[in-house]
Amino acid sequence: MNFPMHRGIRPAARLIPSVRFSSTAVTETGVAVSVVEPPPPPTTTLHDAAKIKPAFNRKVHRIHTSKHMLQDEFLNAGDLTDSARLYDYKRTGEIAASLTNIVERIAFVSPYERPWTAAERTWRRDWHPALVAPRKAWALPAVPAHFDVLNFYKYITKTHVEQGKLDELYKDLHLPTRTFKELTRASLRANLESTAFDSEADRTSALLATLLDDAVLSLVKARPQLAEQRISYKSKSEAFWVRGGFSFLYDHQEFNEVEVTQKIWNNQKYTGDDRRKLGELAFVHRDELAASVRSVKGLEPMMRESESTDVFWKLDEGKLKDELYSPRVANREMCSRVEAESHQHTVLAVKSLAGLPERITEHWRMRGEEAKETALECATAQAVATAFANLTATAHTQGFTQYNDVDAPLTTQLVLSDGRNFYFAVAQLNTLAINVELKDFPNPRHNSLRIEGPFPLYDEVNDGRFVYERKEFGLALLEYYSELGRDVDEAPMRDASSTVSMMKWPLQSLRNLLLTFPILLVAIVFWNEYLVYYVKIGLTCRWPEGAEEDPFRVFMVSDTHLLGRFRGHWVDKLKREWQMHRSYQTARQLLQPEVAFFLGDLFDEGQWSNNFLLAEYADRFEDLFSCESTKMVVLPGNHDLGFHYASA
Amino acid sequence: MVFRKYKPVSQWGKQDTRIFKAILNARNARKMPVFRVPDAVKALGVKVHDPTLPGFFDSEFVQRTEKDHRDFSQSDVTAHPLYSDTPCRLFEGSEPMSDGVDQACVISKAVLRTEFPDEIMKNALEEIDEEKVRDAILHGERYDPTLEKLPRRFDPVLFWVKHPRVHGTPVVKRGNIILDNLFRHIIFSAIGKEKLKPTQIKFNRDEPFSTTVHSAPYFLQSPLVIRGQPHLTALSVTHTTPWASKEDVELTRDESIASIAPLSPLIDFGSDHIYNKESVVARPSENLSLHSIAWTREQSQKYPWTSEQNAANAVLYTFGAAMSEAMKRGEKSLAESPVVSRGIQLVNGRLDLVAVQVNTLDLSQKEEKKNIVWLHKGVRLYMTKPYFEQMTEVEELNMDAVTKLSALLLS
Repeated sequence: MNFPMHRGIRPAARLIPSVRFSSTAVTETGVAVSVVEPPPPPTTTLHDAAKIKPAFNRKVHRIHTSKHMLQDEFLNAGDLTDSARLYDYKRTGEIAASLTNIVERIAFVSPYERPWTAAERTWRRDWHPALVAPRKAWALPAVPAHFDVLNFYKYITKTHVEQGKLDELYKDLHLPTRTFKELTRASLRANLESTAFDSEADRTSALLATLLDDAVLSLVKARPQLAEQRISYKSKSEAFWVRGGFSFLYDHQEFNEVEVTQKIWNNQKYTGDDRRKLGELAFVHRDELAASVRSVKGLEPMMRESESTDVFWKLDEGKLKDELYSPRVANREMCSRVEAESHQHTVLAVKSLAGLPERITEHWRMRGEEAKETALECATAQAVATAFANLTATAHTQGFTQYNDVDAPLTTQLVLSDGRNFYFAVAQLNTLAINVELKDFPNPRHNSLRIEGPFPLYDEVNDGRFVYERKEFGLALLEYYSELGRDVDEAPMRDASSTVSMMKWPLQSLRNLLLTFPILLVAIVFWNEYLVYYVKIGLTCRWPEGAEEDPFRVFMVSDTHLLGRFRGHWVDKLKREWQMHRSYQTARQLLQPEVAFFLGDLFDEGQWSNNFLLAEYADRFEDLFSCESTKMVVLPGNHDLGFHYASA
Repeated sequence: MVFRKYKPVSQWGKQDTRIFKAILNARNARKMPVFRVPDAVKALGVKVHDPTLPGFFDSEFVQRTEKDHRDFSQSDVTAHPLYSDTPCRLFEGSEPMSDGVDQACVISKAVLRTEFPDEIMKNALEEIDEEKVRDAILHGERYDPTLEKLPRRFDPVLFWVKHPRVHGTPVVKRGNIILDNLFRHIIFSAIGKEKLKPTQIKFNRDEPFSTTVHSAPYFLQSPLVIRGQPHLTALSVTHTTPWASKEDVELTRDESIASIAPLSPLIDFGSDHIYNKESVVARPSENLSLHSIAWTREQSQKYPWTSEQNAANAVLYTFGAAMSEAMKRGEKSLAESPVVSRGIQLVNGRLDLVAVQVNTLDLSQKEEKKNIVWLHKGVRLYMTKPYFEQMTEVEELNMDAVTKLSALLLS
């Protein structure tokens, strides 16, 4: 099968079992470069491809619905499934794997198509192929342009997002923070006073870069390996990817028809899709990071596989259609950083969210809780995009593509900030093979991201927004900021192997608050499991008014149904018995009855018990309900005496 | 019959023109309803002017609009908050010094030293990893993923050829990345060897500075303003030690400054009414002294500067930075501890390493004590390629330049 390499006719395709192709070597000149090892012979994949190979002239889509019986076609088994697409995918993967030059390989799998030249447009004739418009890609903006894009971003990157603490990922790390705090205070003050910035975005970027400087400068003595990292400021980060599963965009429902069919023929290709209308959209994210730290060796996977395979955001097609906003379409070459450099792994990306607060408050006109939730959601969405783009670029640099999936997770850390609120995230790329959604190609893996925040760097002012131009506000806040720093001076901070959580020290007061959590927990349990019975019964239960002077007080209790050995979980048993015991004894103490009648069905499993078990149940019953001051009269019920089988 | 090879698709002739004219006339003849002010506008209470009335354009409304509206207003330079009636002699690195370093020395009233003192060179880092330096250079020249549209290429020989525009990292950004990396490498090494404390030095990026000098003989009527925006501004917590001792400073009384006669030293300065009357420095509220500034300069394709002109540029910038620091401390303090500032300029893979010691703020002939400039001019760091070519390996790397740079920074 021949795949011409010229524009537009490149097959979109799929996976080959992953093999790590690249490694780092040192050339004769001493320059560390990435070299590509020849891929192993793809015997397995060829075998697979042979098995699923469809008829040579089969197309990816089925023939249109027949209008009459003469047009009926009886497809073979291969065509009834997605085998044509799967074969295409695997064959493309083989070709990609055979390209030993990484730059060539990435260019091969890139969805970029060059525009037609003037000569091609001029000299095309009717017998030439039609000049279909080149494929475009959906470009994600630098900061989310809409307030509810999180689900969309999660879907197009196949990322599972969780909000949670990152501390457990950074256990046993105790790094000095005193110097960092000193430097940060001075840097923040200098940043607020500086008149060098044309916009708040520039100011935020400069602040983030300076904070990273301070963190590295204060840590480099304790961690000399930080000097080996590559630090970039205002660095660009670009990546493309293709996401499948959008074939529903071609769904068509005739008026008054129930059935929904796919309208492929005579229907316009959706923007960003393959020219065969496969429902596989191309995306590109051109990000500018305030700073980034890259290293030769990547981070160890931080999130376990089991954590990232349980829940995933399900594709809600109806909703997604609403969420597919008109994109800023990119037609420029969708390049990825594929230079064979030694520092391939982005260990830390610092991203500025400048402009987002203004967008929320002024453009979307949100206030209060709604504004906070939206800010968190947009920051999370941006974290997803930034992390995925960075990790995809790293994977491309190492030769992995959507057809040759990564063989080990790639991990990165993120710090996002709008200049005041900080978000910290850890992301893990587990799969790149997200460009096809086929039944015969199950890919349970998905990417993960855990985010924590927001953590304000300084306190709020009265109007809820910090105004940099007002110097006195800035200084007042710095005083508060200094106080905050002093409180946590003595507490060593747990930190990451890199600098990510070096910037988390303002959060220590929150951690101190959380230390009260165990005490709070004990108090809650004591209240709910003990005191509440006295309060409830004491306030709401009393003997009838107007009784005689020496009334005879009786409790009537029935159907206690104490669980036995066979049915019920022990937790259930414990809970029920404690509640019955506590409520009965509390009522007895407060209301002082002379006699308590138990009207049968004391046990739940009395019908299945022998003498020994019955004695055991009776002892427990006595433990729970007996008391010297109240006489007990106990009657058996059908559940205690063999149910209805006793007569049989 | 006339043979017509091509038959027109449709008829077009005077009949069509007649029809179209008739349509247009009918449309023009159509009566439009009289315009009435909508009720909603009336409810707003807005005064509506009828432009069809005679004298509309002479009315006060139109006159006032033309007077007040910003589109009709003339820009007024004097309204600028930094406007001054006295024009300044401006240096902002856009014009080369015609007579090079000598001219810069005349301006700054400085004697020139072409070698760093031995005591300073002792501070140099001895073991600098060459691979790290190569990597630092390649980071800027090769690995940076910026794809910006680069300037149009000019070939001085084949000047009529229109070259394709290429995208990549701009030259200034490449140089700034390299300077960033070299600074970081040297500072980290010094911290590791306990030559420097992490809190001792602070960095600012792209922070503007401006210095205004009022002094005879040239700048008494019009002050000298040196302003720029170096990529790196390093500030030190402590005052740096003077490079020249008091005895050496006294010896400068007997030295003479280079003469550039018959040129006037002022011929290359610009003039501007808008300038800062006070010095602008980074982190003004902190008690810090300016340690060094570093920046990258891109050579013009048509009119490249000579190495002398580049060096003069570095000297004047560094002199401006040193003067701002010296003026902050005052003349009396200078007698005890002169100010030393350092400047690093990267042009086309060459470093201009400058240190300026300001011994006096008085630039006139009355004061015989002079300032001192140490200059290593155009030290080759590596061999660059034209901006439109991709560097893959660092060629002609000169580790001696890095050694001198480390000595300059750690002194």
